[in-house]
Amino acid sequence: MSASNRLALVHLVSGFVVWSLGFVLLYGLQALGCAYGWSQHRLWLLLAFVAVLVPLAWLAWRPLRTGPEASSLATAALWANRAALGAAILVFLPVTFASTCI
Amino acid sequence: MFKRLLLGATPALLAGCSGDLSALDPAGPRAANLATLWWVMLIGAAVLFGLVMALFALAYRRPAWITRVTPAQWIVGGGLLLPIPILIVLTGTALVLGEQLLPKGEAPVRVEGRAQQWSWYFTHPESALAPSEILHIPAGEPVDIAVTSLDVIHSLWVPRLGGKIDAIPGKVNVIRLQADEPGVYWGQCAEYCGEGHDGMRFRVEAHKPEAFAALLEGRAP
Repeated sequence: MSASNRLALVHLVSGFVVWSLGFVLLYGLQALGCAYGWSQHRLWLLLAFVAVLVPLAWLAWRPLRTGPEASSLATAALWANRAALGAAILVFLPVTFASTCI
Repeated sequence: MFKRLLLGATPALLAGCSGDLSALDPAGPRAANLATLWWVMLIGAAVLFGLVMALFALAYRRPAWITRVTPAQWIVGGGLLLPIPILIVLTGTALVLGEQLLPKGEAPVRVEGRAQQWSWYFTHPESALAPSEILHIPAGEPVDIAVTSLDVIHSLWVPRLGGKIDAIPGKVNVIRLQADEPGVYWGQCAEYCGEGHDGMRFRVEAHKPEAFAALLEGRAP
């Protein structure tokens, strides 16, 4: 496997790996904040939400190299990362408004 | 033959919509939210099913129409345009209706519920009412049930009054229920808890507020 294909393979999974790390992070912060009664609970959740979106946005808008390196794998990776960004916005958005603790 | 089978099955299907343990026969605002969500999901699923079946039929009856759609159009239409709006509507409905079920603040009445294989016991703190296997609540106002378990995990569920809550040993979970009208309702353990699970039912009696107050004070209403 060529070096560019290896890199494309890493890019192919990186978006949804970041997504899943973000999911665990938000889930954990939500539970910990309720268990310990954090006063700035919502702020931490918002910060984590933004912190997850930044690398995903970078992956989604990273310019695709043209020429022989723009393999179909690289194109698939770019679109997978765009899907991961969309999924993160959609799935994590409720941390900005839904009830945290009861 | 087929028609007769369909006609014969209809009463059996409709019978599932009423009864003591039917979540589709809500008797309070919280259960009504859940029933609404159920109907929204059923309608969404039925529309999708109808659409897919119509496309399936078209593939046989009008193959020329189907072959005119390019693979890219199938992927974008069937994989993105179709499911994403439907999932957003379903998730949004669940979020909005679910938020309204949460026991925010203090309810006027709080009951403690304990589960133990295979019974439920309810106590009204600071009242003359003895612990009972019957859950007494006032009608027309929200009631919080603080639920725990003495052995394994159970789940408290009164389908006509609200959602479910797990009864977990060493932990207290709160669920808010509401009955609009006085009457008798039934609850059922909703988390498999051993061989007596299916019989782990309990009776809920919703009283008029003045009768409920009298009950708590230990005098006949």
